[in-house]
Amino acid sequence: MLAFIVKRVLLAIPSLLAISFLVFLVARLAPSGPVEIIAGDKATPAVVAQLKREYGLDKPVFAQYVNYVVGIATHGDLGKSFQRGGQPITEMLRTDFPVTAQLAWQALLFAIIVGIPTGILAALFHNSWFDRLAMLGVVALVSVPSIVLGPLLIMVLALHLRWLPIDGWSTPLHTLLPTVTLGARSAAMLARFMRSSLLDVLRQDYIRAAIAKGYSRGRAVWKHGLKNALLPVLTVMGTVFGALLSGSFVVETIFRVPGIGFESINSISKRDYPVIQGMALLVAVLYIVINIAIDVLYGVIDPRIRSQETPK
Amino acid sequence: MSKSTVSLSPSADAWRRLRRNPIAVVAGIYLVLLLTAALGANLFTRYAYDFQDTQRYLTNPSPPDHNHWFGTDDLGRDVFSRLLFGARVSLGVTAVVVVIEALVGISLGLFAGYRGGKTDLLLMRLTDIMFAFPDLLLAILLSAVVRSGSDALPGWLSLGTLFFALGVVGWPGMARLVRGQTLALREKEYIEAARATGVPERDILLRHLLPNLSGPIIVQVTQDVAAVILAEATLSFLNLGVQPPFPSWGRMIFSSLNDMAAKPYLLIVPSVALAMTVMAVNFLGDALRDAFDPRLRE
Amino acid sequence: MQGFLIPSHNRQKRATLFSLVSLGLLFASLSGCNTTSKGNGDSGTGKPATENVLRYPLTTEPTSLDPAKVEDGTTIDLIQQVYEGLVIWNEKNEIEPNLAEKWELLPDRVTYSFHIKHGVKFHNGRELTADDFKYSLERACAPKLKSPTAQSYLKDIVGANDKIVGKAQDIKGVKVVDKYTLNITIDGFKPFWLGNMTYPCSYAICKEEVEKNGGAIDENTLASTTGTGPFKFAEVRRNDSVRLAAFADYHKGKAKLDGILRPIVKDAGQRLNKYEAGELDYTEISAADLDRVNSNDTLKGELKSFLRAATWYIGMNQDAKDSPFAKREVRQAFAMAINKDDILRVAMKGQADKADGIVPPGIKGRNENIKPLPYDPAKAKQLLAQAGYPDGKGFPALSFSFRNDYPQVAQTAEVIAQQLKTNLGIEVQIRPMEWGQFLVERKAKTLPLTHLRWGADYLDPQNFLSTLLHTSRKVNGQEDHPENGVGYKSAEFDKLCDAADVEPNEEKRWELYRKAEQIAVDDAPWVPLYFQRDLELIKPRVKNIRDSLFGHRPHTTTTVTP
Repeated sequence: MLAFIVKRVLLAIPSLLAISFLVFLVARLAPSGPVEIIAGDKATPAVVAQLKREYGLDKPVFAQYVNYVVGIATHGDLGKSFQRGGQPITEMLRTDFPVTAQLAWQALLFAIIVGIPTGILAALFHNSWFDRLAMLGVVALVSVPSIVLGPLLIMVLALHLRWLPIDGWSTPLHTLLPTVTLGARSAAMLARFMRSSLLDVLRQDYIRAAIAKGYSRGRAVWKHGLKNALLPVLTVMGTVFGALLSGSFVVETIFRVPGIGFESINSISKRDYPVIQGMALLVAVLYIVINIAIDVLYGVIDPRIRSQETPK
Repeated sequence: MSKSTVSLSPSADAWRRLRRNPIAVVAGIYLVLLLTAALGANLFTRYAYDFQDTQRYLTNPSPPDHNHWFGTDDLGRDVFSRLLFGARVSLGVTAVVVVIEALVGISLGLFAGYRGGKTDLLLMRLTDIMFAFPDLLLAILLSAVVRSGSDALPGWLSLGTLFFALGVVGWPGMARLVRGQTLALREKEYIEAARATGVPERDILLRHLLPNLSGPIIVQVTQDVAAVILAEATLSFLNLGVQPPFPSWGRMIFSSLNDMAAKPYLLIVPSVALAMTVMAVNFLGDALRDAFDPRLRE
Repeated sequence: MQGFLIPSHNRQKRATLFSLVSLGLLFASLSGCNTTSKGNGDSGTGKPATENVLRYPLTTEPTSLDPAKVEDGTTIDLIQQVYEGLVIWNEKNEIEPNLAEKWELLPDRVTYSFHIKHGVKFHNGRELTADDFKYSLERACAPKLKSPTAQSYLKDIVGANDKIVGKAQDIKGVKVVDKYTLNITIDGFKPFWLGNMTYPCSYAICKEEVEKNGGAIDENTLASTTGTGPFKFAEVRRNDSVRLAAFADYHKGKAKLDGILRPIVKDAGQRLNKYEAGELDYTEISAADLDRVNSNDTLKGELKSFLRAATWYIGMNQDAKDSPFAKREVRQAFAMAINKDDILRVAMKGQADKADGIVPPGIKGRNENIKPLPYDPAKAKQLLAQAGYPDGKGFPALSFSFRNDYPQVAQTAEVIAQQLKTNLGIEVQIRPMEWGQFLVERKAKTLPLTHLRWGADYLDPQNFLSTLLHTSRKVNGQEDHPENGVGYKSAEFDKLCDAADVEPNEEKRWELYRKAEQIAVDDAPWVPLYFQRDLELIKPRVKNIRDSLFGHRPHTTTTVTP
């Protein structure tokens, strides 16, 4: 098991390096830089050149990258923002990331609470009206993107009914709409996957045998089926989590949630390289860690899987 | 010999079953109508998408009336017209992106799956890296950066940045799928036979392998279509996609946000169009998957 | 890395509990239980309106608490409650004494001698002296500080540029004569120069407190933010709020307010919500929210608009490659084909003042009788034909550039594009640009047609006319009028401006600028579109806000009634 974890972590390092370099390079491919924005519309070329020197942006891209990686490796320094009065990125992540984490957790919880029972019920009552309705709802939810769902929820619940705040992130009430908007799609994904996974299990001989031995169908499913059906669902958690991370960028923008997504989108237009890099790196690390964790968990529960790849 | 190469081709069989699925038929009809409306947008609309009807109406946006069936937006432009031309942009971008990623994904997947060895390893590492990062984020980054560079390009070419950004993030899924399937088919007798009789590699890939992959590929393509439509709308929503004067559904949704209390139709019209289109594609995709599913075949 | 992963992990545990609570709430509200929230939960920063505290929002996180580095209007408004300069703009848009109780221009006509007010106290109790200004100015110009504003506002001081590029240890032109006398020598007779001393990069900071913080001024050590202003920073909470407390020993007498609370509310819609809920005493609003304000009688009655010293214009660049704007007729045709009334109605929703000339109203010496080129499509067509482009035929392809981050800017551009198409038969290609990219290309003077704003550095016609439209020539490889981004060249205009810039008699100076402005308006290197107005909602309980065109508002006189 330990060897497995070590192998996965080692394999992740080149991925992280590649991603960090990609993001680094991509950000710098832009012909216009942050310095022009900092210097503003009244700066002379001399000031622009001076600022470039001060920020080390006059060096070749590769040298900048090496400095960056060395900074991270030696003392966890992710650099400083070009905007926001030179705030260190680590400090920025410390204030912004918990917000995104909270949003993602709540959305995941929402997705599980709504998605898993729906999937189970749909499978148990396969081909019933509930099943059909649920699957229709699943496709509908998967098809309604957050840029549609979010504004529609705001319009109905916040503007017309005035039950909930429009946006912001200060009280639990504020977090409701973003949570639902972000979690809806994942709930649908989980419901669909749970259903098909449980259906597969129900077709297995041991369930049939259990029922033949006099177990009620419900008890047979509860005692034997559910655990086996939940296992494959675990593997899609990586995908679900990725969707939540990506989605949080959009949802945070819609609801003005002060997390890493909102700040990243802001930083992109300001060419605040260190912020973009820091946030992208964090997302990549998170994504990889979660996927490894899921694999490990899966390996613990079902040792046969250990050698296989994770599905996307 | 494998049944699928001799009897009724899998595609023909799937097509037959697809037509019997009512939801798929409705979804298909909707998509055909939308496509017609998008292609013939000039014929079906009374106003150019960028015409500002500000002399007739002193305040804009104006509510729906007999001149403007869906009302006008904040600059007095016809919402109906922008919806149809927006569909043209949306579907056009999607078509190009999906073709790009399918071409890249299929060829790389076929090649890696068939050749195996180092080629395969390289491809898998590459897709691993791509997978280690949420797609939408990468698309956001790419389009933000590339766009500022290509702004100087003439109008429609600025869409090129979108093609690029979405294409880059899209191909690995297709490549993995095709590679996996190819890997499985590679060992089949008829492929080995073809190889033994000296059929050139190109012909094996294109004539023998590819036709047998059409089912999964078609299903994957529909999924990609839905994903790209959404991604395009999202990028445009974030002001990173299609730029004015081009209309785009995502952009329409974004610009309706400020006024949605007073003018809800500005939000509802593009939202419904976007959701219905993605839904139709998804329903069609589900039906296709069922249609191609060997387990469900008689 | 671990540094931020560990606390977040703990946070996640709490978040899970938290989400259970909120899910419960969700189901409660979905099942129809009406909650008490009215679309604006209490953010924890809203104080009851009974305290003697003025509450108005920061629209962004403060960018810097360092006066030498700050450059955005939002943060400037915050920190000028805390720090002060030698002089200040008053309500009549004139310079009046502040930390300098008087000043005179010495006979050499380039040295200003400032007499520092006696007994001015820093927040830490120490008396302000001339040395503090020398320290503050030199710190602002230090290369290490990377000030984005020092060069623009301090460049006229002899030796400031040498200090900025690291060629000198001190600024030659700044001399401490005695404890209360500061001499500043500038590089020529400039009757408009004093306005530069109202900008934050010349404000007085407290040396010993700054040095204690390693030379930095930031919220990590609020003592480093010691100034002489009517308020001092009491608390800075990132992503939440900034709190200011009145300074008891303020040299003009303690402020009427006990404090100022600036909750950070980034979204315009939410600012409006909080204002409606009584959590804010005043707030700026965006044009997009006007409909909402106008549909509510209370809000409508509390809406005020303030003119700002900023002109939005269309620039027609004669120096761009193959530019058709070298021909005067083409420029005039564009000017006469653009309907400013429609732009104000459609894109600006009526919230700006139509621009007749280049210099905004309120600036002393402005030409009140300026004659703009009229909106006259027929004449415009005729002019265009004279220039060799009948009905726009043969007109070169043209892109029309503007920054992409302000909706009303893009809308204005789209309205103009349609007007040019309808009135002149010319189709320009709309080109929304990233701000950074826009700046790069504008400086390279490659953009033929732009929509842009000029905000005053100081309130003087010189800053609009000579600065922006005087012919620019290369001197030692540098443009002598770098802000002339449209390649306007007029010997007559230059002559008038050159004379006005050094004219000691004020009335004569104004007269010269008035003539120059009319020439520029007729030559149409620009089409001035509108003068900016800031929209604000102000509760009746707030009174006596000092305002100037420049937007600087130290709340020394502001009162709130409970």
